Amino acid sequence: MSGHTGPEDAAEARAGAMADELEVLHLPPGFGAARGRATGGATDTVAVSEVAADRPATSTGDASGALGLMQHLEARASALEAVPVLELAEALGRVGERLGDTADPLYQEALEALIDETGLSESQASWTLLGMARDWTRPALRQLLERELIDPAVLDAFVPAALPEWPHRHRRARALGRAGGVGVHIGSGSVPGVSLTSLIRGVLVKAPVVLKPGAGDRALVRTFMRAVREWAMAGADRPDGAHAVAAVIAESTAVLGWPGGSAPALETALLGRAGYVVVYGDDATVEQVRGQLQASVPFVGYPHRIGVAVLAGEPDEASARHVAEAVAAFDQRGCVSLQQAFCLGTFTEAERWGAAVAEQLARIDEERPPGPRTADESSAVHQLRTTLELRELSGDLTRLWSGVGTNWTVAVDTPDGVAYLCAARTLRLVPCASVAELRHELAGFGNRIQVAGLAGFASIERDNDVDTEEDVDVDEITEALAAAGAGRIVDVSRMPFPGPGWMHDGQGALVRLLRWCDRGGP
Amino acid sequence: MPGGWSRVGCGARVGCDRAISGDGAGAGRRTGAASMTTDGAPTTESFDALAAELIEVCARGVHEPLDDAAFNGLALRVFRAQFEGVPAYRGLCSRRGVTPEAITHWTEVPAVPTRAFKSVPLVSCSVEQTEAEFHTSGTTRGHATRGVHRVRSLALYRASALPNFDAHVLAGLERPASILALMPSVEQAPHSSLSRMLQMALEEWGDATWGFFAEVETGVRFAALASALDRAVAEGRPICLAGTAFAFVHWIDAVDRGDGPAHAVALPAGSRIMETGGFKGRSREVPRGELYDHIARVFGVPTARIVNEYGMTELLSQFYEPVLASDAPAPLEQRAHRAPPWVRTRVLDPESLAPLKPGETGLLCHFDLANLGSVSHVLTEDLGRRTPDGFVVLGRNPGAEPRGCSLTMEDLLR
Repeated sequence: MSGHTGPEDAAEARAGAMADELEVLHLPPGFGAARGRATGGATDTVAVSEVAADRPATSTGDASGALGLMQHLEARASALEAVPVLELAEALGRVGERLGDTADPLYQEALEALIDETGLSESQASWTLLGMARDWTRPALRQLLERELIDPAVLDAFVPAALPEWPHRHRRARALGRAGGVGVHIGSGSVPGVSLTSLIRGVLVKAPVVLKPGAGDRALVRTFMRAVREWAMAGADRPDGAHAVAAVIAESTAVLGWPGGSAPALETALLGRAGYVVVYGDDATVEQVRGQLQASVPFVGYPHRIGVAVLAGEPDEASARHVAEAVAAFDQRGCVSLQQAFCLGTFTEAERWGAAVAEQLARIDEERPPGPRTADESSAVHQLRTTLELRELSGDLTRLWSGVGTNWTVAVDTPDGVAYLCAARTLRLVPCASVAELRHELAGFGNRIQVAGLAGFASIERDNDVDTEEDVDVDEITEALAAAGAGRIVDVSRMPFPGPGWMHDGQGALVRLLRWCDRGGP
Repeated sequence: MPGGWSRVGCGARVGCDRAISGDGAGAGRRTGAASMTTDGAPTTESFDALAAELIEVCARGVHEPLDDAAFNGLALRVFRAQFEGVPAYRGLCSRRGVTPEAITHWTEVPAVPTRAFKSVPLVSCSVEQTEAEFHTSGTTRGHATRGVHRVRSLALYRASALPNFDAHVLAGLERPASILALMPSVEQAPHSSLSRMLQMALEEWGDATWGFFAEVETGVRFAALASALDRAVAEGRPICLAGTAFAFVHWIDAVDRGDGPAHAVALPAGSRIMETGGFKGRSREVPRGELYDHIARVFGVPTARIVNEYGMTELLSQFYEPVLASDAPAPLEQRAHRAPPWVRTRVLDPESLAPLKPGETGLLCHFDLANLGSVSHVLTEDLGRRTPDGFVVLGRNPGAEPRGCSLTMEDLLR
């Protein structure tokens, strides 16, 4: 709710009208088969009409149906737990790879579904899908496990403590899904693939998952899970290891879509029985879900964050392109998208970066035009552009470049300018005369920075200890960025697509889903 | 109570319509243009003379229509005054090739975004000559984000605000009226346009024994308000209780917690409530329907007599839902706000800024003649849609799925 009291009613009324809309994206095949069977007086079905697990349907959901689904998933936990984690990674990765293989019909299907869902241009949708799918491959999933757990087998059994500094000779460790039940994952955003990534993480920690993807992020997870089901079913009569694992995954997961807040009974039922909960969303969403949970239920919240960049030196075409790519990534809706950049230097130097990035955004606009903007995104662009013009006409140092409609905007602004955040491929570029000034600017974001990109620093990603004159500045800058909340500092070219095991909100995403058992330790 | 009591900017006070009646009408005709010299060139019109004329228009009240031709004539003269008096605005218009001589209809006048009020001095006189400054609420870490509307003529504000308030909030109430403001006084909150408006209403029609019942620092004065409400009940005289939604929530929470003197009452029949927006960063937020139910319960005033005002610091005129004029107001979600005759509101496509048809949702854009001293054509960030009776305010991006996992301005401002 904004500051108004009038409009919310209308929004609520619309939400209320949608409350009965439950889109079933995936149900465990066995659950579908059991539909209608009474168990001990309680129905063992989700209250959906005519749901077939292989045929997504729209229907209604209620608390008793959700309870039945949770019970079904809980009963499959032991089967999932019994599968070695690397086999899960192998199965998930084999399907994930297909989404990144342009020669695979599944890729084409996913791409078309993504375009239908988001309105993205084919080129932008393809860029997004291929980028996201890099994280869903077998090597990427193994890397994820190894980077976060060192020895992935810790998810299967007690293993010798992997950390060399652990002094206890007989120490062994075991990692378990925190759930002890079903993980409920709630996405509320529109960045494609985030929900699928969350589901994959949940399966890797071996807890059954109920996923509610964001309304704009259903296509990929729907396609992925259908492929898993089909693979499982294709091997039903000749079960080899991989088919069997796919069947376990299909049986241990459910994906349901509904407008957040529109089905309180369903949400309450799921959250009331959740083993752990993961939520992506704005502050209000994260807080609202957390408030519904008992204190003992592990909770992982991913509130909205921002991507920033620090630019130095003269822009060359490649650097400017990387900056522009980071701005255009996910049409600037992701926390790994670039919104604000700081140029170490004068206003004139920032102007040079602005002009160079604007040129590249214009090219990207031709190559990969953005999807439809929301009303508030377009509104923000209009507000920003005219305000900056008026400020310039009032004597403020500002400079503006813009594309067709509200497709893209670059604004060079003074450090003391009015704060604003950007949408619809809009970059705010502020010159900072010193690192101290940069620190001051960063402080305005209150630890809300997710990722920071650097451009114009030759040695940012070196792994040696050789200091050069430039390195002093780099260290100072990275310290400033870390202090401002950034959990990941990379070359700006790598901002949009973090690799496996990245520090999401400053922590490993898998580790946050785990609890550890230490045998023989201190 | 952090954040002060200024109106939230950019349309945060929510309840217009008409160009909602005037779109396009009159285009191609020049009416009421500036006076001409003997060689035919327009002359600069005196601000005071034009302000006096506008005050006269407002004095006719909200029920006296201002036809499109008359509105257009006044709007073009107002635009000329602003073009000549506000340098940055003149620059903007010139960039767009718009001059007073080049246009024939007010819809051709460039609109200024509400956010510009945060950083650009949009006033047609020196800052020293302004009679008041109205500030929006809202601050953020290390950055000034407070919008400032510099008011050149409080007389024009008074002329615009009072007839509208009288017609939609005080209608049928005996004078002097018992007006209780859940706001700090103008002395405490000199930059609050809402406090100023209520002060003016009190001066014009109020019983001096009532007044303001909140403080900037501590919020609603529980003991004083409890006593005043008891007095109203004892005297059996209907009252007008006006304040922000936030202030009402503050009181309702106190009543429900049993805090000190706070208690529920059943106000005399004929009493009415005026509530307006203003939650951000200060209190738990309550859906409107729920808020009205609580108000009805705690004050004994039916929801049919709760009037929502939609106003913003950037405009000197307000918009109201005319519920008191009806025995059976529409359900909350269907209630529309009306503009006074001296305002025209359009609904624009958020992407192209082209006018939309009735029923389509877009950005609200107002042309307020009372803004003579600053800029009259203001593009808000509020979404709304036209109805036969006015417009419905939907707020910002109502009911939409969050845009992604990146931060929004609203998140940052919290």
